[in-house]
Amino acid sequence: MFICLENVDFTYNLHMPFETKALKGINLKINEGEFIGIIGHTGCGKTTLIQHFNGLLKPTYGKVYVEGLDINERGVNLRLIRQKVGLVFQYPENQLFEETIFQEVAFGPKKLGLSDEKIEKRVREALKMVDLDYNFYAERSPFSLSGGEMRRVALASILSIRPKMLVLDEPTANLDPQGRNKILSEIKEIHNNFGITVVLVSHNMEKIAEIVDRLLVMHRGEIILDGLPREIFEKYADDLIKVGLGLPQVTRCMHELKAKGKEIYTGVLTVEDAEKEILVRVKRFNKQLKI
Amino acid sequence: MNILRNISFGQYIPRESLIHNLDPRIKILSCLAIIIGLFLITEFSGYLILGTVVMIGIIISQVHPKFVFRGLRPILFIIIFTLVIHLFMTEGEILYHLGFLRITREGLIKGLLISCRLFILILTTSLLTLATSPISLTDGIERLLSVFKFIGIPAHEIAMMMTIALRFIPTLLEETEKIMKAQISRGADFESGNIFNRTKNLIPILIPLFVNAFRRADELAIAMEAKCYRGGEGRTHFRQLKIRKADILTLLLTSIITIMVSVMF
Repeated sequence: MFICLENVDFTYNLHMPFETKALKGINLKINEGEFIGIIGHTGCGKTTLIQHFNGLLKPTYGKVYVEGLDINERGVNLRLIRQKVGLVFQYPENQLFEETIFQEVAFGPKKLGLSDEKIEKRVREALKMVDLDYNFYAERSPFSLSGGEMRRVALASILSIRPKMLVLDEPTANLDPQGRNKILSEIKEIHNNFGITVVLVSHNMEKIAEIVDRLLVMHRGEIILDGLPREIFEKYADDLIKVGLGLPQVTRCMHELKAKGKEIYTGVLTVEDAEKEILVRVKRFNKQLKI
Repeated sequence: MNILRNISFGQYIPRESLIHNLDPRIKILSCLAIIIGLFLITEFSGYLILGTVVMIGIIISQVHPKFVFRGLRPILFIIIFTLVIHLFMTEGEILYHLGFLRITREGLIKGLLISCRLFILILTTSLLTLATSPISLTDGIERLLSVFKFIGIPAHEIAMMMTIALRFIPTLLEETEKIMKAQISRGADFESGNIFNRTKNLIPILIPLFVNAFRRADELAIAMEAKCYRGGEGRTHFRQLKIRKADILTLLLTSIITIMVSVMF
């Protein structure tokens, strides 16, 4: 088990007039190699939750373990934990500061005290992972790039630390559909090729639900659903609608067909799946007619 | 990580109290009167009286004293620093030897007096900002400054700049915290090392902060122009300030007390 949260509560501005409870009794286990999506409305505690994964925030109540290490314990090496759990914040392009992209991506490895050759190797590797050509980009200024490219540089600057787990907060926010698909497919590839545990956070479940293996739904500081995306969309559609998250459009379409009395499987995530499912049903229906 | 959240200086706490509802001009002038008084007084009893006036103000304002005193924390260092300097640097009757340093009676008294002065000064201004919303505060400053328009003081522009600056303090603090966390996640370390290294470590925070601030300023300027903002000329106010009886009374009371105290002590 990689990360384990036990009864975690978190309160901002504790004992102050603006006290707000952001997390309530969170129990969560994340295993190595999982690909998890966390969805929920703005302000439901997603960002607060993931900041517990690398010890940026410490629980007001409860325990957080990263690879068996209690982050609350005195003398625990938080830098080591942060090296294992790479956290990519929302709009990561806003934290770029170096003169060249090489230096930007080399920032993390440099802080680890690696030799120059090793640093260069890691920068090459990280840029390759986000599909940026080393020779073309390395010596350019990060501020001369487009929004999507800047975000990929920011992602590379985390990947160069070689984290075992990658946590991304709204990686697709404010990107055009092309940039969004590009970054999501890169993340999927990173997960597949390097076996890195990935947690994706989003308020928008379209696309996210398609690529993750496990979905967590958060509402008002609690995890209300946890399971396979298909299962959640099939069985808990009403809950999703009740908390105001709604369903991906294809899934909603299937649910409406079912509501009209058609016998159909509603746990689909992509247009292709829906097409297959509908065609199967139509064929079966035709067969029945022949008999 | 919560260093930045602890800054209460300049924060506004909304309440429904007599102090909150006073005209901002009156509040600014009253504070000014007290501050002038503070610099005229040379005896402890004078500070005691002015301190009591401010404390009464804090009680009436219904702002929890905890907030007012939290604003003092960053100033504490300066207060202690001046106290120590005065203790050792004043000539006079020697009270105590500390190696080559000497503590004198005059130094002790002078140091304590100045500490009291700073202490009450901060309390007064904290009360002003805690009990006055930034908008009405700048409104008040604008009206007060417009008296000096004839010598070319751009009252509206100053007030607008202050409004914008105050508006963006929380935004910048929030952003600083976010960038700090992001850089920590990338391996930055802000907590160890000597002072030179620590300063160097601030670069990853400062550059993104400035880049974003400039971009935001640019966007704000464009947005203001899009709303046809063109300075103070002919601009009317949504909130009309009106002097009422309570306002006049407050100003009279604080001025009279201050004048009396400054004359007596």
